Amino acid sequence: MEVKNKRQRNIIFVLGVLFLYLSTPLTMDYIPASEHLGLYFLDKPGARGPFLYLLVWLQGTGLSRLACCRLYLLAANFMTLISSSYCFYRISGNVYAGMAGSFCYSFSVYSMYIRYSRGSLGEVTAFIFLPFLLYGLWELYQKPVSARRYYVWILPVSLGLLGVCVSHIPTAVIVLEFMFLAALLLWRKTFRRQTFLALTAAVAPVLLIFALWWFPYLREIPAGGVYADLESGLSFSDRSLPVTQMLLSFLGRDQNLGTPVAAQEYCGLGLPFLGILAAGLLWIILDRKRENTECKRTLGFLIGISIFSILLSTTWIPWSRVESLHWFLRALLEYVGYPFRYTVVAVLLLSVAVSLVGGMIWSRGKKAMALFLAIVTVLNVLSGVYLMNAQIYTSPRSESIDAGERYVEMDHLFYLGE
Amino acid sequence: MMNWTKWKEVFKNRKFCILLAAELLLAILCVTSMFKRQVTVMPPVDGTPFHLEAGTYMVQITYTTSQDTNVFVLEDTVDGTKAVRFGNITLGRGDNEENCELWVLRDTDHVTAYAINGGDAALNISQLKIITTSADSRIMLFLILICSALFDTLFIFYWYDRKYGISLQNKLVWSVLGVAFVLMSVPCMVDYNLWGDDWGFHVLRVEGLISGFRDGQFPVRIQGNWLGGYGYAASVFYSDLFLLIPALFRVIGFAVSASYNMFLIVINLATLMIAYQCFRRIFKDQWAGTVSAVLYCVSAYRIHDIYVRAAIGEALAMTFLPLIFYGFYQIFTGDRSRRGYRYSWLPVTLGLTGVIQSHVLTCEMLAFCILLLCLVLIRKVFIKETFWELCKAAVMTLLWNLWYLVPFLDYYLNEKFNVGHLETMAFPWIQVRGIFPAHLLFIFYGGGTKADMEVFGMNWTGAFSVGAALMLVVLAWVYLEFAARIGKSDFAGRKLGRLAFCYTLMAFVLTSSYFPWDWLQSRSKFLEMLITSLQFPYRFLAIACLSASVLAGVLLLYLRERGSVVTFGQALTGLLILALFFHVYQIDDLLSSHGIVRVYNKQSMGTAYVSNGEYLPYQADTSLMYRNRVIEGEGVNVMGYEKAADTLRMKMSVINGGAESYVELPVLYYRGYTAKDLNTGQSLQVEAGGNSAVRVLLPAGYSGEFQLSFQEPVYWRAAEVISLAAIGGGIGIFLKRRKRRVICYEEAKS
Repeated sequence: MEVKNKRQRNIIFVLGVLFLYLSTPLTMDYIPASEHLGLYFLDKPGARGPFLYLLVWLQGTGLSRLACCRLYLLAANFMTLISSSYCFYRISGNVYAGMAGSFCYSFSVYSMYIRYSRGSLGEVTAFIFLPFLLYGLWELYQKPVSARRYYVWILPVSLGLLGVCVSHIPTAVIVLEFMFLAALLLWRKTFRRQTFLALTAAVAPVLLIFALWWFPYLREIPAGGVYADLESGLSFSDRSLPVTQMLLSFLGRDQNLGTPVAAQEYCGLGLPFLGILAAGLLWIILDRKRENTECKRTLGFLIGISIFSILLSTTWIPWSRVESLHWFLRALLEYVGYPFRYTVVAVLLLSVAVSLVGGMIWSRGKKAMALFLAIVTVLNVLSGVYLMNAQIYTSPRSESIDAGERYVEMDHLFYLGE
Repeated sequence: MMNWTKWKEVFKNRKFCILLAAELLLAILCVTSMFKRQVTVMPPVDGTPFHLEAGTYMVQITYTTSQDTNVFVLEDTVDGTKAVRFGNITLGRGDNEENCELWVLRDTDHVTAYAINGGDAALNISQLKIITTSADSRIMLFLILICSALFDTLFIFYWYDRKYGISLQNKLVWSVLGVAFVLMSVPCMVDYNLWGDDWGFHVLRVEGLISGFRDGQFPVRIQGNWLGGYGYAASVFYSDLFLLIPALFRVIGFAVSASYNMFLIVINLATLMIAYQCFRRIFKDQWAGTVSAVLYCVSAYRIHDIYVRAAIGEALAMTFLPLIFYGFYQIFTGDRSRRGYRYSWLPVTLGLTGVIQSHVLTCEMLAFCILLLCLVLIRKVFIKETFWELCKAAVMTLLWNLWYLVPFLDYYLNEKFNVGHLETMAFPWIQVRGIFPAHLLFIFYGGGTKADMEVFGMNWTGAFSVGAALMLVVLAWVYLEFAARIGKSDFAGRKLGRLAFCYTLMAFVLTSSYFPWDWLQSRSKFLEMLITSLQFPYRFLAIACLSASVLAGVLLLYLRERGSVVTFGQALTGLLILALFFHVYQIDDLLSSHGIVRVYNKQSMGTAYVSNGEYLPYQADTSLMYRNRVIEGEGVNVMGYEKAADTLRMKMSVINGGAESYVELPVLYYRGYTAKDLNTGQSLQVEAGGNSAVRVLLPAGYSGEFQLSFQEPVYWRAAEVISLAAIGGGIGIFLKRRKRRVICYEEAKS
């Protein structure tokens, strides 16, 4: 009992410290990237979703815009940590491994980027639900179909997917694309009767609800483009990241990589994921003992999908050709908006990979686990924390939470797309 | 580590004796070269290149100007400061003669000298002389002595290790301390200074100390080099005791920048050694002492203080904080039945003296912390032996520092200066200067300089935090309290750990911009005076650095006793690597981004940097203070006067043809100036005139020559005598105790 109590206290302590550090910029009297947050308070027609309405509601209670954004981000940070640590713990089977994965997920360069550089509150909200979605899918694919209460895993898939859809549409589009891809790659398991039924039961209602809710807004979105950036002449292809940027270890200070979109230079993978990619690939290729083949296959699958999603973020993919193939593809890519958004898949899957590795290391003893956690901490500090610190350090102080001119001039706003 | 009786045997070693002889010979050669014949060069002033040999010189410029806008330049047009170090000299208005130091590092044919006319038709340089000095020999002698001491020390250690052996632990500990010292001092290993907010103020104080000695003042009270010769009472309000060290370097012949860097190295060394010795004794563990000392010395705030803010006073005060802590630790936890307990007051007195003589504001914070400590440990305070030691510490601290405190309080309470008046303070309300909690959690501090959070936020912010390693220690302690329930364990250090933790938290809260400083300040005049003098809440980070370092030592002791997952060795290695990594990151960024300044002689640094002018007479306007500004009262005729640019003493011949009148001199009035007729010995009344200048009242029909000088009041002198006697008594006690310890050691050995 004492051991269990101590373990609970350990968990609370670690999550508390992670929450404190993740919310560091919110302890100032201004928020970095506040110049991007003003649009959420505009009173323009457009799909906002239930979560982003919270901001407007909070403002209506008399709180300042700064306080509303601060509260929202605090809540989002807290929920992201809780959801990711719980889900990764359930996937890996070990609570400390789960927290390692949550650390990587919440402190990833991409997470810091959308939180404190881009101010993309919808995407930050979607980050809360992605682990649930993945957890549900994991259980549906890993559990034997004859398991008791197999269909209960429909719930996390549905709720996760619904949460993502009503938080951030580009992320929803990306997630659906990759769910489809994964379903095809794992076709043997996908087309088991029970799994197929479960997936259909999970996804279909969500898509239906979403379509019904989203359809009226379709007519409002002007033809020719969803994003204001298009008006400055940048196509989807133009917004890709150079491959070099995805391989950089220390993102945060100004880099001369020629990224066309402002602040995009802070988007990347970061050290923990570069590390797990390198370590995972080396292990898979070089390990001759042929033990843990199931684990190796899972890791290989996660790493493979991650690499694919990373490539989709970069200039290596001929997006202009893809766009020209069919109008549907073009429209779909317009909803995604920026290629770097595909990185979110890599962030999610590689965080799970970290948890799985942690789970394997746990079986080797406490000291090995302590070393593993120390390495994860160091890598996250050198990348995600470094980026957050650099953002705070180099961003000029801005108390203004007014929307940019380009948003003020638009007739309709794609709140769920920013 | 070493048996001190055994090390004397090294003098029997032939190689060591040869080394000593060689060093002595070199030293004698340097001394003899000091008496070389002086050579004078009369170069052209029109910019024509001329030749100079390597060496040190005095450049004597005799000139006339009517404005302060003209500049004299002497430089090497090809190799710049790699060959010639001089700087640009602003020529003050009037008929003047300047004597400026010059360093020539190598023989050169490309030296040029010329004046840049700032639109002054009256500018005329009548004579330029360049005269050799013996400063180069003095510098060489000093360097030989330092290098000799270093070589000799290394030789002794090497010899002792071969003969008797030094343990691996000792070697590792001293290696770590050596590495930490070198890394801390990296920014000093350049030929310039990093520009800091208070850099100009402190280098002027050093020059002021030298000019005060030339004025015949001892101790120096009014420094005559400030404000174009008007003088400034910096020494009364801000003790110069430790500035004797850079002043000594300057007198030897080192340039301003070099002296400053050498002084910083001395501060780093002293801080590290004092911290190590104190923490080692507190924890009774060499490694815990080493880690605590290193973490303390490389803490982000201390590095920021010393290199970015150039807050030398505060950095010096931080040198003595571990000594104070050690002293109180001895008083409250020492064995009262032990004979040595009755000397427990000594470290506290030494430490508090060090702080008082460095930075009075830190005393204000310390007073609060000590009061709090006594309240927390109130039961122990009233134990007879402990109470007696505390009283001794308080009384001896007062007596040792009476020579500084009496003049300080005399001026502060009885005269009117800018300090203490809200309307003249640069920062009347300090809460806005508090830091965000984000500052404490921030770990990648670089060379940022900004401290106005209300304007810049954390953009390019200064390092207002204890640093990553100490923050980790604080979090680790929170874990031990919350998850490991250390409070319920029987770990002996838990009370000390809790105390250190509470002090750290308290300091964090006090530094915050959310702490209601403004509300407190508005409660009473007394609080207003205390709080406005503090200026910046983040000064409490000095206390946080100390208490967090103590916490680090306690944490290591805990791990040594009970470490399972993380062992003692792993923790100390991890903490050291973490501390040094982030320190190197901070220093790296500092060196690559920070502004620099190259100043060699005193004339090229200006004299007007009084910072916020706290010690100026109330509402004195420095823009009206310029050299040789003499105002004659009605009927008065000034026939001539003599005053050096950087000293206060002056002689003046006047004729007062009318009724009682006056003459106002280019000297700032502070109580203590006297004017005496040089022929009759008659004292003339001195008072404050327009813009707080010295006004000498001349009786009707007065004609003669008088001398102005600063004379200390008798009670200031009495305070100095008392302090001297008390310090003498303290030294006697220390020697007696040391002798007794040696006797006890010898008796125990036999």
